[in-house]
Amino acid sequence: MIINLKAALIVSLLAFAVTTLVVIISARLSQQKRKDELMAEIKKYNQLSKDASDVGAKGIYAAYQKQGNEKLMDYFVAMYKEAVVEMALHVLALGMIQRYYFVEIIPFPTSIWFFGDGLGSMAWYVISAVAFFFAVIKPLKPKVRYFRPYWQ
Amino acid sequence: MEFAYGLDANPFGILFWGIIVGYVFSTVGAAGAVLTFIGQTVLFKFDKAMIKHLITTGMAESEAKAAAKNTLKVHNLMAVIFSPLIAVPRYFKEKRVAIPLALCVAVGVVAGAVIGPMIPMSMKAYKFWFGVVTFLIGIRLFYETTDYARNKKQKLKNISKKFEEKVKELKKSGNWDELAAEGFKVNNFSISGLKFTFWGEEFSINPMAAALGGFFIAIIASMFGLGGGFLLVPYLSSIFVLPMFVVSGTSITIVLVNSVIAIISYLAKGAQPDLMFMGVMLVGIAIGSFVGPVTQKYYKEKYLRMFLAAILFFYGLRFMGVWAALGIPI
Repeated sequence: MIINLKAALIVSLLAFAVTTLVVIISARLSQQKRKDELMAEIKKYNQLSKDASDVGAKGIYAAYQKQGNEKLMDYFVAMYKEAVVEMALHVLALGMIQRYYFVEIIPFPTSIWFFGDGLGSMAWYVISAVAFFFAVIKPLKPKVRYFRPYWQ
Repeated sequence: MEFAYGLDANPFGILFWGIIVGYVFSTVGAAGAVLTFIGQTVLFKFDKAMIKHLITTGMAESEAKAAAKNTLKVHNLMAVIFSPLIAVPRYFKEKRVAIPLALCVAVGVVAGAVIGPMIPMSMKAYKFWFGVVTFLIGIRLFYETTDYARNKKQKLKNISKKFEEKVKELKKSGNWDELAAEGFKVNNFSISGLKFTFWGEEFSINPMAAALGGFFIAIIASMFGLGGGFLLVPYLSSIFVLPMFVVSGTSITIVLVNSVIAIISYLAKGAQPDLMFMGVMLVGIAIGSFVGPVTQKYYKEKYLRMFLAAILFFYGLRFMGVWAALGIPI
């Protein structure tokens, strides 16, 4: 098996840089606090609607469920904000690879379903980013302040 | 700047539109996918550029149109899939997914998400139905700005507050049980009935009905390139009368399953997503979604909703071909 080492190195370095940047930015903009507050409110409305249901107050049950729904919508928005910050730069990096550096890094001896003739630079980027996150970033999180949410 | 598939657009224009989408979505909480679609088709004419480009590479016109339509759907699904992708592993870790229920619905969703992309739909029909959805969201947003809807909301809050105070008093006297977070446990399972305990509460559902509902929701959502959360949440909370903390984790898991399968199906059908285009737009969405809440205090949200409703009415009618039928050249 011949590996295109130069391409693998370039793509991996890009993946490492973007992953580190994304972790720092998302730690600064973390929505966890807001999400916890909203989940506490959702649970509160749920409990209250259950109480209302227990005493047969159908109107109040519906009112709580509706308010819980609204809080759930806010929760989804907070979650979306967090996710879009974590993914946008990766998608942009993948877009740059797709446009300017779409090369084969590990050619397969035979075509494999879904993967095709080889492992391309985009798949290599994803593998590098995931591996870097779990092998380097995650163990460093407790030690490096910039990798943790701003309130921790 | 030239993007993939012949699109020649200013990246700052795409970034700016992304900021608007993120801004509106984070303040109003709706219309994110619709505005992304409007940006792609009306402002940047991504579909037309792609069709033209694919035809010059020797592809038949019908095939090029199908590829462009499928690519638009994949772009929409890409914008949807990020939150489930990040949230689902966390939800599982925190035991917030009612797995027995999610599995029942997912059985139908898998089948629906495979069949949905197979249903033939021309670009014209796709835009028409997207126009209908856009128009309906516009009506909903406009309704929310009326005094009637606002008063109704306030009334609900007042009733709830009174009841909440009463419950607090009763709880102090020790008459109410607390909710226990202990994950899920299947108590009884058969084709016609599933009983499970989730967070200390027992739920009973019909697995066949859950799968069937998931099937139809997945067909509709995958046909339009949507995640399906807007249908799943009311389905689970209204039909099965499930509480919100069950619905949140479960629906987002199902949205992930639906979106992943639909994306794979559309890629297999020739969709070719332009990640550079989507990446620039997503960076804009990320910026806009954080700027939105900061500036919200400087104006009344009602006016933003009214403005957005007017835009959605306008584009809804445009996608449905109403302006063209009336001879108005817009």
